[in-house]
This record gives sequence, structure tokens and C-alpha cells, in this order.
Amino acid sequence: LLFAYGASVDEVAWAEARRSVGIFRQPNHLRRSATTMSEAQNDQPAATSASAGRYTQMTFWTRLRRHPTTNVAVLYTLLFGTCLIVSLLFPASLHFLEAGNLNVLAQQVPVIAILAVGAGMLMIAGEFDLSVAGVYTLAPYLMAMALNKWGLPLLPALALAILVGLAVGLINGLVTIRLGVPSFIATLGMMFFLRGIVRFVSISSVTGQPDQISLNPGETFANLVSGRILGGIQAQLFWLAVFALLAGLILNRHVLGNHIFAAGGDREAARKSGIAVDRVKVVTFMICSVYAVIAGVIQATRINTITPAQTLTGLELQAIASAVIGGVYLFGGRGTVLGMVLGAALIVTVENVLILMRFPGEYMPAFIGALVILSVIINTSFGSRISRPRGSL
Amino acid sequence: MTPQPTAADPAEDRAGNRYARRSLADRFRAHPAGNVAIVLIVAFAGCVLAGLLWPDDFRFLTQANMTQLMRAIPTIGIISLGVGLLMIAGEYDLSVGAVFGLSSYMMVYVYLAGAPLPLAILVAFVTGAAAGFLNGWITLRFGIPSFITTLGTLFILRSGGRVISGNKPLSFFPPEWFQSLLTGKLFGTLQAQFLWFLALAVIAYLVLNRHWLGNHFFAVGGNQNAANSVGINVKRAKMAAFVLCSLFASAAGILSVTRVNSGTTESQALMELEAVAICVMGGLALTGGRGSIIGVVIGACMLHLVGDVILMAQLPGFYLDLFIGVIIVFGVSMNQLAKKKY
Repeated sequence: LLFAYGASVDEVAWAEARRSVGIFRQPNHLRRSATTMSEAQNDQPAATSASAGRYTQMTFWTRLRRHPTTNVAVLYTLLFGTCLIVSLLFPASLHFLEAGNLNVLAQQVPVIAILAVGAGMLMIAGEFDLSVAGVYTLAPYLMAMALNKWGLPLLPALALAILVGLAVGLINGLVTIRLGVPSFIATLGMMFFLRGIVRFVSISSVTGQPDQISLNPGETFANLVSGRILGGIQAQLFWLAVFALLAGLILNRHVLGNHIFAAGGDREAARKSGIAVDRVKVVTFMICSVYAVIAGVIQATRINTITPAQTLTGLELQAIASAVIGGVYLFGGRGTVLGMVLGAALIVTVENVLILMRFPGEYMPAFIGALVILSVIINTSFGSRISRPRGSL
Repeated sequence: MTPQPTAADPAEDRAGNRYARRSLADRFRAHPAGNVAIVLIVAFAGCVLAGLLWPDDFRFLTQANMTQLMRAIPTIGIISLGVGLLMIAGEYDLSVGAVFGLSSYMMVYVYLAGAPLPLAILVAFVTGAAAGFLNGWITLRFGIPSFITTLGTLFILRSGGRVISGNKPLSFFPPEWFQSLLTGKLFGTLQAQFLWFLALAVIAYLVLNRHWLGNHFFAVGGNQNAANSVGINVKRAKMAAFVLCSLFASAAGILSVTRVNSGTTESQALMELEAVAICVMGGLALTGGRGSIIGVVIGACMLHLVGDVILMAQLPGFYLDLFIGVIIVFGVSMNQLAKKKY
């Protein structure tokens, strides 16, 4: 399982590393000309390229050091490596490397990671979504109701869940764009709103109190989503790979991704170069909500129940924290899918190790909080350094 | 509470000059808290009317209900005063709930350890000031958005509080005079806490409108660069706002812990967001530079009035969540419209 886990992450890692040439995403034609330009300069003395503009060839190490994902990748490798070594040396005191524990990781990381990828894409577009925990709960809840109470077949029920995500994302986007409300406030409102809706739909006719519901999507679906597929890989990991790759393709290989980076980087410049910034942002809001639905359905399928209290556990903050730790620039315009996934993996692994070491659970939020502030400080100072004009350019 | 300069020449009036003398109704509507004040008056009048018409079904005018309202409003109201001051200076504080819990717990802890009461109160305020200073320092030193800084310190302080308290509440029985000074009754119904809330609101008003610091808050929140170029020390003003905000949260903590006689670091979940909602309802601009203390007071009353009505009409509690959600979005869009108009 460890190898399976490593492989699927590494696959994404290599694909990402190959793909990301520059730190700034440019339209494809610019990127291509930048490459040719830098190739032409390859045989110039190193001094020239060091003082030259941002499109010139940097040395491999400079590029690596400045890549937004590097920090979190190094951090995660260190953490994972330390855990491995410690649990190999003292298998009795740290049960990290046991099949059961790695299984837990493989089941928990993808859920947070998929949430983080959605929230992170939206952050690249320069907006926040604080309502993901609401969608994450409401959509599977309605799906379970459709299956249990209204007798819908599986696929329409699933479609209903996705529709909920699309609708919430659309409303978030329209409120933010049309009414000019900052997204952090618009989605804060949506967060409260969805918490109310979840409590409303979950009121049991027997007790009159909000009640949990069980999700019984059938054996095939359950196995496909949270069982073992493709010869023993935890299915969640497979779905994480799928959705992370999809997000990576959208961001780096599709015109929408270019527009997302542009809208988040410099809204006015993007608008003036003919990008429909508003539409791009609304679409990204919808993607973010749908990713939250997917994460919610995956989690609900594994644990079989959905409780209304899920809306209160601070998932939206974990998603944002993962993205920020993964190097997504807080003011938009910069970030990688791999970073978001690694950021989520980091948070979940730290939580896991703290639990294994029998730390009181109280330390966990403090750790997340400190990590968020630290990574934002690092990312922000880093961002201001590279966006400052250098040399003649 | 922006003073309205009056035009010397009435001819400018007809020309639509912005400094022209406006009618009282116009000025009322232009005031940031004007809209919500009207809504509150109408809602309150409606409640009183309903309470008079159906005294048995809608027990709004009973003494128990009034007492309940006056007990519930001050805690979140005082927190909102601080959050409002900070919001006018252009920053957010999402850690107030944690500061509220931590500083009140520290007070009880020190008091039970044998320290005299004034020292315990001082400890609560020092805890608050330290938290505010930490928020301000991180935000201003590294130039990161305060909403992220205080999100981080919310987590840190909350779990720090849990570690200190071991998740166990401490019972707090202060001397009789202190208890009645903070939470007693005046004339049967009037709650001392509510008077404290009003007193603190007056202090906040004086800071904001009668002291140079308030001027600086408005300037810094309205246009940071302009404030800087007229010689305002932007960082000092913002730091003062951060510290003030946390001090108000500590004050709310002291009041609350004295009322319930038990100190815990667990604050009511999402208090910080309710405070933001109250400020937005009260007509404070999210982007800073616009707002009034009376707006915050009205917003706090409004939120609890609605909560009260929902309770009394025996509607399920989720309606309050729905209401908060809708009001945040609706309030902000109204403010945006108002800003465009005036």
C-alpha cells in the first residue's frame, strides 16, 4: 500500500514538475517565446541571466527554490521520512508504518485534498470559499434522502448531489460578482445559510431534532468509491489522482486555467486583454463547490452516515490552510495542484502522528494555525520578492 | 456620525452640491446606520404590538423575556464594538471568540490561585492586549491579510486555552459587590450588564469620534496611502485598533464569566462571525473607513431581537442561522448600494 500511495503521488509530482517551467503562468504563446528566448541565452555567462528579466532561463536550483510547491514538498518529505525512520527504529512506540494506520491515511488524505484542490483553484482565481463544509454535508445528505426516502436510483441521486454543488457555487459566484460583495463575506453568509438548510432538512419526524442519515449507495458504488480497486489500491487515492489530474489539466493545459491565473493575478489586466473575468470566477466558484460535493460523497460512502454537525468542524479552514501551506498565493494568481494535495497530506499526516503519539487532541488546531500563519508569511514575502521588477525589465 | 458640513450659499443646494444642506430625513438615510435603525424600530414596534395583541402566545413584553434579551445582547455586543472599531480601521479580527474565552479563563484561574480581584481583572486585560498585539504585529510586520492572521491565532489561542484548562471549567464566585456591580439589576428589570454595554459603547464612541485616534482609524481604513501621506502613522493606528479590539473581547469575557459563574475557554462557536455580521448589519463598510458605533449597538440589538422572536414563535433554531447568512450578504450589498448613492 505504501508503494501504491507513493506511486500515485509521485506520478502527479513528476507530471507537475515537468509541466511547471516558470513561476508565472503566461498565455501559451508567451510561454513558448520565453522558452526559445531562454534557450538562446543558454550559453550566455551566468551573470547575465542572473541580472536579466523574469523570462530568462534560471538555473535549475533557482527555479526549484522559487517554485511554489518546493517548500511544502520538502516539508512533507522531511515529515514522512522522519516518521518512517522513527517507526522503523522504534516500531513499538510509533505505530506509523502499520497497514492499519497507512490505510487510515489513505482514506483521510484524499477527502481533505479534494476539498483543498477546489478551494485552492478558487484562491488562484483570487476568491475564497468558506461555505465548502456546508456543501460537503448538504449534497450527500440530499443524496441519501433521495436514495432512502424518495426511492431515486443511484445515478439521479448522485446527479442531484452534483447539482446542489453547481447551484451553491453559482449563487456564491453571482453574489460575489454581481453584488460586489467580497467573496469572503458572501461565502460566510452562505456558510450560515447552508448550516441552516442542513439542520432544516435533517430534522427527524420522530424526535423533532436534527438527525443523522445513513447512506446506502449499494455495494458496487461503495466498492468503487471507498473500497479497493485496481489490485488493492485504496479507491480514494485513485479518485484523488483523477480529480487532481483533472484540476491540473484545467489549470495548465486548458484555456480556462490561463484565465483563472490571469483573473487572480491582475484582474484589470485580464479584463483589458479580453478575458471575461466575471464568468471565469463564477465557473471557478462552481468547480470549487462541486469538488466539495465529491469529497463529501466519498467520505459519506466510507463512513456510511452523514451528521448535520459536520458543518461545524472547520473543514473550510482546513481546505484553505492546505492550499496556503501548499504554496497557493493568498492574493491569487499563483499556485499548483500538487502543492494543494501535499498541503492537505501534510495536515492530515501531522494530525495522524500527533494522535499516534498520544498528544492531547488540543494541540492540533494550534499547529494548523501556526502552520497557516508561517506559510502565508513565507509565501507572501516570496511573492513580493519575485514580482518586484528586476534588472532592466 | 460624520459631521455634515453645511453650505454657506443656499444656491449650491439646488445645484446638487454634496456639501449642500440636506433635509433631516435625507441625512438620516445617508447615515451608515440609518437603514438598520429604521428596520429595528419597525421590528421592535411590531414585536410590542404583537405582544400587546396576543399576550398569551407571544410573550415578548414579559419581564422574563426583557431580562433575557438584556442579558444576551451585551456579550456579543461588546465584542462587536471592538470588531467594529477594527473594521473601520480596515482590518478584521476572527480571533475574538478565542480571546474572549482565554482572557476570562485566565482571570478565574488567577483569582482562584489567591490573587486579589483587581489583579485578576488586570490579568484578563493583559491577556487580551497581548493577543491583540500578537495579531497586529504579525499582520503589520509581515504584511499579510489580517483575516488570515487572526484565523491562525483563533486556532492557536483556542487550542492553547484548551491545553491550559484541560477542558475543565472552573467555578467562579466573586465577592457579592462585584457580582451585583456587573450583573445586578436596577429598578427590577434593567440589567447592569446592559448598562455596561452602553457605557462601553459610549467609550468606543468617544474614541472613534472625539479622539484623534478615531480620526486616524477612519483615515487609515478609508485610504491607507492618503493617510500615510498626510503624516498618519498607519501601523501605530492599526496596532491600536487591534489591541482595542482584543480588550473589548476581554471585557465581554469578564462580564460573561461573572454572569454564568463558571470560567471556560470554550467560547460559543463562531462568535467572531456573528460579530462581523452585527457590524455589517450596523452599516460598517467591510473595506473600512465607514461606520458608526450606534450602528454596532443597533446591529447587536437587531440580531438578538430576531433570535428572540424565533425562539418565542417556537421556530426551530436553524432559522437564526439562515437569518444571519442572509443578513450578512444582504447587508453588505445594501451598504455597497448606499456607498454608490451617497
